[in-house]
Amino acid sequence: MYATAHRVVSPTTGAEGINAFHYLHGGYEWDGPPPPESMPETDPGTLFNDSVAVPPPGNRVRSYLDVVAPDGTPAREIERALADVTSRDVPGSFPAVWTSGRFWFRFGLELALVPVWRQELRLLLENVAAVLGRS
Amino acid sequence: MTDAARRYEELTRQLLEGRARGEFGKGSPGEAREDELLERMDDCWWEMSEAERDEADRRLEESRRISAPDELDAVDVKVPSGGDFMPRQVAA
Repeated sequence: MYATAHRVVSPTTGAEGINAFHYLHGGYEWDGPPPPESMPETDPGTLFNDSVAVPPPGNRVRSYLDVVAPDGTPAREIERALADVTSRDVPGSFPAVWTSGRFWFRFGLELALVPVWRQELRLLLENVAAVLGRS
Repeated sequence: MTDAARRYEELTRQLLEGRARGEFGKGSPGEAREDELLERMDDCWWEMSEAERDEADRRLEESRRISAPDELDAVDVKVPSGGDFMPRQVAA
């Protein structure tokens, strides 16, 4: 599966919020790191569920968290893996990419959000977990 | 993390974002708002434990060593249910 959360801002109204999306790869499984063909640019899967605060399209993306994991992975496993990897590996630049077990993460944000990057990552992750929980 | 530390983090975020957007500064329309944020941050600071203050300082220092683009070159796109493409793309 591919799950992602975006902080977006509307160019017309200035409304800002976090949208989250949950895609399924359709039972495609792996044991080690996610295979290249499961990466979102290659094959994000099909959209299964979403949670939209600021309706697309055309909103500017200020930050995003991408997660690739086997379909059906509980949100708490993803949260644990991301907390583990970010406690060990503080990036020197964004976007940052981390691989942990069967999970792949990519986190990008604009410069103004860097001083609060941990808080931003937590917010995005909460939104990813929420959209997985509703699916 | 205590409530004070959480509030401090959120207020820091609001302050830095306002400054990055050029909303704050002496004589600006946002000056009063900036002062209010600073005052509330100060209140939280004195409610926080020494360890939380050290952690807040450490994280701010850590962030100064991380680079990132001024803006992401990305916009979102509408994906219908069952759609098989990402919900964002490179801005035109």
